This record gives sequence, C-alpha cells and structure tokens, in this order.
Amino acid sequence: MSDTMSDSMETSAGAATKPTPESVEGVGSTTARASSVSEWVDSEKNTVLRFTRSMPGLDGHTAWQVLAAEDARPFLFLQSQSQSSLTLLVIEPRLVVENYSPVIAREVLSEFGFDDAAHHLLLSIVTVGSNGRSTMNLKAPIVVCPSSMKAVQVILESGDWPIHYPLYPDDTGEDPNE
Amino acid sequence: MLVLSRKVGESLVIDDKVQVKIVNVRGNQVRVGVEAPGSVSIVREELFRAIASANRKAARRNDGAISALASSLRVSQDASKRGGTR
Repeated sequence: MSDTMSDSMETSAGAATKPTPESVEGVGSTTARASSVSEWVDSEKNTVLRFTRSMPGLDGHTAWQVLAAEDARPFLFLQSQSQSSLTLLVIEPRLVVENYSPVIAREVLSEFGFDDAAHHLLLSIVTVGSNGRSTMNLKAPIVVCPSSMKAVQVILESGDWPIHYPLYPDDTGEDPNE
Repeated sequence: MLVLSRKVGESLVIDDKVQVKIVNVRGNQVRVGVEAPGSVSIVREELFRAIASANRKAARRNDGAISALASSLRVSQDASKRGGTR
C-alpha cells in the first residue's frame, strides 16, 4: 500500500483542528473496489457508517460519519450522528503495521450482510495519550464494507495483537522538523 | 443475573440460537462450549471489558492533537524507510 504522505502536513499548534468534511470529487463507483481507506474516502460522498451492532462501551451509537481533515491525514475521524461531541480517531492499520492481517471469518462478514465479504477495509481506533503518545487498537479492528457502508468492530479472540499498539517509537532521536 | 446449575454435558439455550454447553470441569476450571451464529460475538469477559474501556477512553474530544499526530507519524515512517529502528 503506497504511503500517501506526500501531502504537506504542517504542524499548526493552536490552529483550529475541528474536522471539516472534505469536499469529495466523485470519480465514479470505485467504492465497491476501494482497496485502501484513502481511496475509499476520496471517492465516497456522505460517508456514514452503519454499525451492525454498537461498539463495546459505546452503546446506542451505530451511525458514525467519516470525516477527513486534510491536515490530519492519514488519520480520519468518526463522529457519532447521535452525539456530535463523540468522536473517534481512526487510521488504516496497515499504514503503520504492514503485516497486520487479522483473520476475519467470512461467515462473520456474511452474517453481517456484508455484500462482498472479500472486500473489506480495516480501521483501528486511536487513543491519544496525555503526553502526546498515541496507541492504536489492533485487537479490535473496525471492519468496513465499502459497498454497503456497514461496519462492525470485531474482537480478535486469537492472535497476539495488542489493544494498545504504540503508533511511533518512543524516541527516534530524529529532529521532527526535518 | 440468572443462575442455573448444570452438570457436565448439559447445556443452556439463549435467545433460541445460542447454546452454551458445559464440556468439562476440572478443579476450578470449567470448559465451556458455545454454539452460535457467526454474527454473535463471543469473547472472554475481561477482554470485552478491556475493549469497552479502550473505546470509551478513545471517544473523547479529539481536537488539538491531530496535526501533531500526523506529522509525527510521517517522521516515524521516514525513519523506518531510512532503516531506523522501530
């Protein structure tokens, strides 16, 4: 999956970071075959995900709007349609962990009415730490069916994926301004 | 909470479609078998609780840290491309 970090991303401390929906150019029906979240978001209007069951701890919130803020890419927001103050920061996990390939049983996906069980996208929920260090949940990915806009958070009972996978090394020693 | 007694080999049926069977008992460990449609999520309670807690913690106001996060991620990806340690 190509690294789509060619967009300039300025750190603008203090600037408004409230996510605004991207204006999306429709490029035809690529959603059903979108092979990356980035492609999917770029080609879809009104990206409201309908969860077939609410996520653990977030009972009653089954409709989530996908918001893309250009200065936040590749992160995306999910915003609950029943409570706008409730947002989740998400990222496509394979952008960070290239070999992340959890087994999501096809029967599970078919039962959810995922039209095309083979073509699903994954999103990991990001927790922003108080010290700026963030983690993403690889243990319970959100599985998205682009063609039906259905989604479900699946808890991976097997496998060693952590709930709190650090998003970047503690100390790279790199100058962040390079 | 509904509490029932079962012997090894006996079962419960939940909501007509979930069957819980006591497979084996050894000491204080019980092996429980569950038959359910694929859409029914079955996880150990402590794992469910941990996910619920992580979800709730993540679902707060996320304003402010986003740009910093994105540029930090780019730094990390550049570092790993240059052969930096993860």
